[in-house]
Amino acid sequence: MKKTIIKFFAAMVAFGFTACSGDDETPFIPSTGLPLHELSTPRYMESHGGKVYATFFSGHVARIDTVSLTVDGMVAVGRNPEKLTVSGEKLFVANSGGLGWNSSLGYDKTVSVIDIPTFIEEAKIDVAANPANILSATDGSLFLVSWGNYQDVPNTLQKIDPSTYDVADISSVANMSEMCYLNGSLYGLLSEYDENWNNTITYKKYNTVTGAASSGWITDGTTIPNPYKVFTDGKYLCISTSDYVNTGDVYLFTEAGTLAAKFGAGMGPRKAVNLKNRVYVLNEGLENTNNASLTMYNVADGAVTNNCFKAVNGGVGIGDVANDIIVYGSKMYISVSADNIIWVTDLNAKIIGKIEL
Amino acid sequence: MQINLLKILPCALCIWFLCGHSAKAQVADSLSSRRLEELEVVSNAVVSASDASVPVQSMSSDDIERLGLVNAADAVKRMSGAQVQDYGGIGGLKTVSLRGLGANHTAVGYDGVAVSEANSGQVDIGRFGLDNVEMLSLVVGQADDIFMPARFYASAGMLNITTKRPSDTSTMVKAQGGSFGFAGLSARRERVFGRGWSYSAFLNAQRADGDYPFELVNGSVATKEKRKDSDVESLNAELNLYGDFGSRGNVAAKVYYYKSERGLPGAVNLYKKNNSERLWNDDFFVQAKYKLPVTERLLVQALAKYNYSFSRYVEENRNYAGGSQTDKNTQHDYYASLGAHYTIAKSISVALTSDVTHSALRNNFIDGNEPQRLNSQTVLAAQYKSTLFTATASLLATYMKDSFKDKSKAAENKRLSPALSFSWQPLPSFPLRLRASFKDGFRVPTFADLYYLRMGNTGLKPERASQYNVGITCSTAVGSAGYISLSVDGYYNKVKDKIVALPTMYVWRMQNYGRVRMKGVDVNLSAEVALPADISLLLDATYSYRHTVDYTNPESKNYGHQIPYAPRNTGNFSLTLNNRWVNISCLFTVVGKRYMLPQNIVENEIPSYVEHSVSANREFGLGRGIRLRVQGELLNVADRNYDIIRYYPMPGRSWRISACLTF
Repeated sequence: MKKTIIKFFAAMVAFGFTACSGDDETPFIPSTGLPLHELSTPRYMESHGGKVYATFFSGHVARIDTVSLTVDGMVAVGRNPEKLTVSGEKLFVANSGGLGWNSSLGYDKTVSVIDIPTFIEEAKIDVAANPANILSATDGSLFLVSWGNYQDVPNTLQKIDPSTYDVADISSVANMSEMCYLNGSLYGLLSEYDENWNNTITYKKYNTVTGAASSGWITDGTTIPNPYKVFTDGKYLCISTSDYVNTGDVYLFTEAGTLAAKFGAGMGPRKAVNLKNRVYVLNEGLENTNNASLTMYNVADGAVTNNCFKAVNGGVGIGDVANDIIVYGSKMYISVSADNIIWVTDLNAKIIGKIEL
Repeated sequence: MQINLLKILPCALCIWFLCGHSAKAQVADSLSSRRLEELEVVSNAVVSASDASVPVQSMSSDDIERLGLVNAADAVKRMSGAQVQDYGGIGGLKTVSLRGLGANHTAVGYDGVAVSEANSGQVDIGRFGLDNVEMLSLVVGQADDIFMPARFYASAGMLNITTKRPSDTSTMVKAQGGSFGFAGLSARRERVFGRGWSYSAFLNAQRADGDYPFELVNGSVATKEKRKDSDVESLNAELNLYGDFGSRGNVAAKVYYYKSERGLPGAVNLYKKNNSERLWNDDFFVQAKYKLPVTERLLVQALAKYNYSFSRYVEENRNYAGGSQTDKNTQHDYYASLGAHYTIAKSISVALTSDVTHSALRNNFIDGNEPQRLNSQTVLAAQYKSTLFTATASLLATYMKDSFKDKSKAAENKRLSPALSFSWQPLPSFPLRLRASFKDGFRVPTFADLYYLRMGNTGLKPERASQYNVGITCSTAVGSAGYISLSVDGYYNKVKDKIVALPTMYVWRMQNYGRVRMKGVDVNLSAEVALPADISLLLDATYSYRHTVDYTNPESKNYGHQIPYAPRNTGNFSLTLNNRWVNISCLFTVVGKRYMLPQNIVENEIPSYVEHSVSANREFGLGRGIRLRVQGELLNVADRNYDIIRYYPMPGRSWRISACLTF
């Protein structure tokens, strides 16, 4: 089944490629008629069926062909979409509406459903305000974190049925503000403030199969100052730290909750990809300082190379603020929000293409 | 609304001239006797006033003209111990930080009254042109003049801008042009009437495209780019009225208007930016000062000021619903000051001054807080001053109350701040003086710190700065045709409760968190030599060494590191050759390596730079009292795109010329 789909898509790609050759010059995406220049500020990416899907803060999801490395489809979703995920033949996109927080519109409260074959937005699901992070479990069910408004509207964790679109608030069982999914469970942390703005962090785990929740999945007593993001590279559970002015550290934990490695990375480490013998960590960078970077951790000897993107590419920088990194096939994709580009590199972070918007 | 200069200017000038000349009637020749204030006449640019007990550097209009300086930022850049944070171009924001304390600790005075900026706490000195300025002086610590508004006793230091007082009846018209579409027009009219009255009126309009080329380096690739959205247009008008009535006192009143529109180019991105920002400013104030010698020993002064500021900021960005976001801020300030100065004995005097300020801010935010501030300050100062010894002590009491639409968030702050300074000439026959001073200054949280949307924290305390300074000064004539002045000051400052934006997850919050220590040395040297055939040589040099280190949190990676934008070494040098043909000045600025973020790592380094400029001028007498002065500058001769603020490149080589007619 999968092979047929791939062949089908490959045929479409071939067709698309010939039709789209010279697309870099024309400002329109064929078959949609939508102007390419409307896309602005790439955020998160997901891969599926030979394509990479990326959300854009301008309120769109773009489909990128992984052979021609160009945008060949675009669909409008809600306001300021963040994370997206694939479940079945659908894309589910969290529309945060984050840039409208201080306007009369406020945050967005929807999740867009996109049908992948036709690449049309089919539905919008009503959820809690400021939806930011959405993941799919192996059985296809969706988990969504909405950050609320940091004041009276709290952080919520919701479970969404991918066929009926029913939303269930499971915050009372396991509420998380940062989460990732590994082998059937959600691992994350909850950040809470009291009236005096003191911040407490609790680590949470939720087994999506059994529905069991627990606090404190770090089992060897490691304490982490200033935790920033919780993510997984597919093998390790990663927690990064940041005080927003200095470089951060990355802690790699095994699934059992024991510390496997700790190393210093760049400014705001936020995502990692695992290539068996090495782990690449993407460092967000700080706005207006052009210091988004890539850190490589060598699993065998624990050696850490900071700024490896620059080292491999003759000093060329990733850009100002980078948001996401994924591996798909023999390529890596890095979305750089502030510079409106998506880098396409080989598995050694060497540049092979650049999608500029 | 765009200011269409081409249309407004000719009309404005015509009307203005007509008004001025119609009163050309009778100038009675009965000038009442005035008590001239003691003025230290200096012909060198950056001179450290040698008998001051704190470091003082002044620049007169002569110095400003011969060095070809255009705005207050240019002048302050040539002074030691001061750092101008310049965001580039003619319209870029320029603020002054003294000895690494931060721009919020520097007060700016315009003809003796403080310039307000309760919202951001920082004054953009780039908007103060120098065509109407008589003197600029920078004081680090508490100045020796004890009879000044209480507000100035609060800040760590002060930049004082004094405009030209009318001394005669004359008119000045000046036209300027320069690279990147810079064009400017200034006009000034002053008139002295009988019975002690005089007035001056000033108008300045300027514009620049600001699209200067710069080199963008990305690894091994260097590309030539042009600065975009860096244009500026501004209009500045000022009217002053003076009355000097001898024993019945003197009065000075001013009306000031400033309007500008500018593009904000933002930091340079390595690849592509999809947004554009613009800023409109509208500022208006009226101020009046009345000084009365009640008796031989008692002098009384009253000041009043009303200030209106409006700013509109627009960001065009596809990511906003509607495609753009607009921020509007309107601020009203009311200020009054009353003071008395009493001379107890020949060398002893005391002063008591009380200031009251009320500021109110309104903006267009959804949860606009409408903050209001009532600030009451009273200072008692005493001074013993003789030719060989000066000792000054002062105590400032501050009470501040902030109120807010949501009554539960009111905030109060009280503070007592002392200052003490000495200046002593140990050898009566030799002009070498020693000085030492201490000042406890602070800067109050700004409206933005207290109330800005989610970040604000009404529990903030003022940020405190303790300053200690010791120094040696020496000013002496050398032979019959020379003059030399040297000052060396060593200092130690501590900042506590530094107000910083501290991030907690997802939301930033202003907190009193930082601790910084500064140590340094400031050296100023001026020399002048008069040579035969009306030739003179003037030399100015400054050098600053500073060690500015963060001591906030021993666990953080930047503990003990140099704070951002604090270079260890900076220096200035200028040489002027005055003669009958063309006066030429050569200016150098050297700034050492700095860091753009708190961590002192290679990635955060901003390289050091040297800027070299040349200025030349010549004055022609055209007969019948008409003078024409032509001036030209070549800036950044070596064409280096350096950064003061990282990723805000400064213009490369550029030129400016001006022609000024006085009659």
